[in-house]
Amino acid sequence: MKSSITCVATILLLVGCLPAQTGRQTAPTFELAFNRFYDHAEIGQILQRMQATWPAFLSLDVIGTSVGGREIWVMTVNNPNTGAETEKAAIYIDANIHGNEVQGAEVCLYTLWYLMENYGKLERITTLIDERVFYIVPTVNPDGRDHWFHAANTSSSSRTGIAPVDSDRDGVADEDPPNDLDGDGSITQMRKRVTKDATHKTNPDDPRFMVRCKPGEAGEFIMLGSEGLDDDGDGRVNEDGVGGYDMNRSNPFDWQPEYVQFGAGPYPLYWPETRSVAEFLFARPNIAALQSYHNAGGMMLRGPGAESVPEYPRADLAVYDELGKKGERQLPFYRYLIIHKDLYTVHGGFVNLGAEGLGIISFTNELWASPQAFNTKDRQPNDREDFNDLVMMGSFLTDWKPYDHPEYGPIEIGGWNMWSSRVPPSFMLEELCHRNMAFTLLHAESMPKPEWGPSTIKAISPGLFQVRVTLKNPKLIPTRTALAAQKKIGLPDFVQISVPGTAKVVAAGIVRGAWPHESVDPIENELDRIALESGLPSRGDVTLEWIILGDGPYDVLYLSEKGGRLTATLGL
Amino acid sequence: MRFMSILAIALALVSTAQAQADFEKLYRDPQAVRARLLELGLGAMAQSVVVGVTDEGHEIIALEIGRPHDQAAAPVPDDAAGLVRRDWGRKPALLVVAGLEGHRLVGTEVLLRLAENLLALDAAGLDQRLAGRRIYLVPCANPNAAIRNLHGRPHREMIGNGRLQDLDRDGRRGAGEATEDLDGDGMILSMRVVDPKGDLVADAEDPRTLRTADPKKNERGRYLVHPESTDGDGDGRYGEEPGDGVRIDRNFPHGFREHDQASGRYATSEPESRALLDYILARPEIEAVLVYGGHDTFVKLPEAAKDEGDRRSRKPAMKLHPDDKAHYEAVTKLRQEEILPRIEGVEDEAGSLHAWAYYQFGRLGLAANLFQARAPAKAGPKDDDADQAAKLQDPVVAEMEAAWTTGFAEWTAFDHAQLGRVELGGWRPLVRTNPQEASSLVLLASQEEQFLFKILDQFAVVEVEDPVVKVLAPGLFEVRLTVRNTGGLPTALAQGLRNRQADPVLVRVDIARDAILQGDPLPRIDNLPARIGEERFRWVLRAKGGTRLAIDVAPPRRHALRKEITLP
Repeated sequence: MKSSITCVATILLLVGCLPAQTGRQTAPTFELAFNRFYDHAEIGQILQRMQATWPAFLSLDVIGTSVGGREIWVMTVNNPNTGAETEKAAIYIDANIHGNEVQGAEVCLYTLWYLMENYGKLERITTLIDERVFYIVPTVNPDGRDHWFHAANTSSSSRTGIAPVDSDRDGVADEDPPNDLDGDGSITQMRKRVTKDATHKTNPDDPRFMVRCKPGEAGEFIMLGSEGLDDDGDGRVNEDGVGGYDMNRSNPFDWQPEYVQFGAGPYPLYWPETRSVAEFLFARPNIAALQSYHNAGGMMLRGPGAESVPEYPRADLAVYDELGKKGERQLPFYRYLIIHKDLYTVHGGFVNLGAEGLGIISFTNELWASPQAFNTKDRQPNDREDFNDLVMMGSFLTDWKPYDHPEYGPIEIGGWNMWSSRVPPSFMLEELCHRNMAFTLLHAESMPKPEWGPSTIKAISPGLFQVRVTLKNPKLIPTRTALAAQKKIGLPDFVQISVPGTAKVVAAGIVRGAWPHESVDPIENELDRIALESGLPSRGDVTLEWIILGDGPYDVLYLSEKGGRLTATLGL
Repeated sequence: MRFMSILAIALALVSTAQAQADFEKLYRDPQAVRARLLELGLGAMAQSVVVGVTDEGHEIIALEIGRPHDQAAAPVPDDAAGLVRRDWGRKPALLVVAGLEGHRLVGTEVLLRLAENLLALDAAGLDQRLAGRRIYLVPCANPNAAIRNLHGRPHREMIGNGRLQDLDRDGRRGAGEATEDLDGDGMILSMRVVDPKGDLVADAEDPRTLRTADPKKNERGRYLVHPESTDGDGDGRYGEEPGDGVRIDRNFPHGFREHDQASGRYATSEPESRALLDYILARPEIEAVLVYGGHDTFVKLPEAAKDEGDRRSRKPAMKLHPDDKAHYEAVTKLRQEEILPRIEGVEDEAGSLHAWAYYQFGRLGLAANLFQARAPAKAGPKDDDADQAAKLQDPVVAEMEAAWTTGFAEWTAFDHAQLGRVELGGWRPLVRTNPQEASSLVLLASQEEQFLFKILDQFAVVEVEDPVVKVLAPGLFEVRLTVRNTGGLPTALAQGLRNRQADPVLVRVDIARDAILQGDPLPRIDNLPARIGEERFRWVLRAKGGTRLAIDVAPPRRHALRKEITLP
């Protein structure tokens, strides 16, 4: 009888601790739907509720204010019982710097939710929260996000923020945006039936869609571009919409002016949104991993952003390659790519700032790969149409309807709406969130975690001791990337020894090689404080040596911006 | 003998204290500059603007000189500082900036005197000289440094903004890493140390100065040079964190040097540089920027090159657009009519304001070095060398040459607690870059004033001829219009067009679109070239006879010019 009660109690205990996302049906502490998107105000409410639910681990702060006066929030995940935030390696995750690239914010919310729901339930998550810090900014461009949700757009429009820009250089800013003429909530296409000079005809297999005429072939329509009017009467339509810049080109480091890099702005970090993020990063040298979320195309991108920037050092590439290859397993249909080589040239991008400016392993993920629609790489020419018809119940398409246009006369408006590409259909959002989160958690687990290795004290002669201390980093990411060491970014790691007042450090050095080819590189100044410019390597160790006149105990302190702080006392 | 040494030190102390007192007497400090600029801004032909505030709380003030757009409108109080805001409108302006480099006080004082001279004129006289144009002055762009250079004790020359930096990256700031007045002479100079690791040798022509040894000439380095200091933190380095901060004139975005601490964390990382760019960007009417500092585009004309930099090549231009070279040459010629080339400026323009003004703002970006100690001129090859003779008569040149001799404190042996026997010496603070004679400042202010007006006289002048109207048929009219630039500069520099910063001249006929049967209803002129630039327009309009209509021509950075016609 006693054993049955124990058994039942054990089962109940296990059920109570079931982790989220293990395939079992359990009620989470915090109910949140991941089959929908949230606007900025909703994100704010969710973050506040999360913080109130898990106050021991979460703190919510404002890092800046957008051009439109919206707050930019960061949620910090840290277990204060295991140490101060600044003494642990941290991962910074953000999303939605491009207004229309929205789903990264939901990944950020999912990550927060998953970490909190599984603390104390999943060992790896518990370890992550106890040993690491997460800084999560769900939307860097809240103005752009809300503009995408609440104004009519295409899936690609409103990449910018909302600071006015005179894009057509007529002395007035933002005076001729696209217009939602048919009131369907999206900016679709305009076509006009003509008898002469037609460039397009309806697809004979499916008249809802247009195909371009072959040379000499008779057509029915000319395409007039995105839905809109000539608001400013200059004879052009939609040529000066909201904003007109790209905040992911405004970061310092390989920043280039507008005539080289569109969207860069008059100087680096010109807009308050990117400035807030950069200042946040500058103030936290403990950040050892960076992740930003964009859409779309299914990619895990690393730098360099431009061909003019030298390829990263080999030691850093080994880190990127290992994470990228594992990421390809975690994220089916996503590819691990190099921005300038495999995508296009980017100057002043976020990874330029992270990797090249701050010496941090940095990824940009482009969320949602269209092969996910039919879950196969075997793509068909009409996949998009079939997905709309067979899976999305036709919701991606606005039928062509006549419209009396003030400039063009009778036209028709219709075509793909803003939900039809770049963002996942809502029913696939949760999977996207989980898999991308898994990639960032792998990145977070790979951050350096220094520990003491073997230490020895050997009497060389009476009263003279050789002290050797080994520091190990079992993780993939070194405490200092090779690029950081090369460019002298941030501080070196320091190992400091304190000896009793009666003792004196008479020599110090860094042990190179292994027995029998071992040697010691001597240190010339500050013998009690050795600087390690290259830090602790990826899955490797560093051994230091001091020759000390006088007996211990000796206190050793290791200080690293990204590796934290370790102390030890050595004695014979 | 000992008495003599004490006497020599005493004399040196007196002379140093005197020199610094002279600078403090001759040059106004940032507080005084600010107060004077605010005072001048209350006049009828000027206004003061707060450009920004440094992280030490000092305001950077601009003085904008010109006629208000609406003179009848009463000035409006602007803020607690006592500023007033006028109905200012848009008129083409020349911006002059000084004091970016903290040890160059001369530009600040010259601009202040220049402003005082201009605003001492009666308003009508000044208005006539300005002829619808304006002069914007930012005399003291780096007040943090100016204060230290003038009032700092011991006296040490510094260029940057004093931002605290961990230059030796040891995680400790300032602890035993600053400079120190070892010999008590009131100045921070240099220490030279004989050291086998040294790579410097005494220059044969001027043994006071040190240069890098040239192994090709079989030279071996003899000296190391440190700032006057001790190694307070035991890291083997001396005075490695003197507290200079970021050099503002290296902190602008064109050619910015990344990962160079003196240039700053990133382009415009400093409040001073960011405030200046925000000030300029908010004033597209600025047609040219002149910087008084270490660079000089007049002594050494920037090079020009074809096809340098654009979006296709993914590279920024690093040389002048060939079409702009003539404008730089013309302005240089104008300056040389007024001021003889005195010194060569710093060639490397990386991160400088004037280079940004040209390459990224698309305006004429000019720089002049007003004062720099120089070696006395050697006798010219010909007695009739007019230039040489004129140079000899130039009192500013005479003072520059005198500073070359008197500004250097000879190397003097000193027993250093850590390094043993060293020598202390080098250039005395401020002497190399600033005149000490008031007469030089008076002359510089007068010459620069003349030159500023010569630049203004080059500005584009857009004129619109009276439209010519012809009746083609009842209710059908032909209207012809000519727009012309009679100024010495184009309405857009080629670099301005390349970087899309040069706004076009917009022409608008104020009539319904469907009334314009022929002709571009909204033409825009990307550029009207200097002097000969002309564009002609022809429209065929359908309208009733007697219709009154206006044609607006809006040149960049100016108010629109309106021509009104009545169709016959």
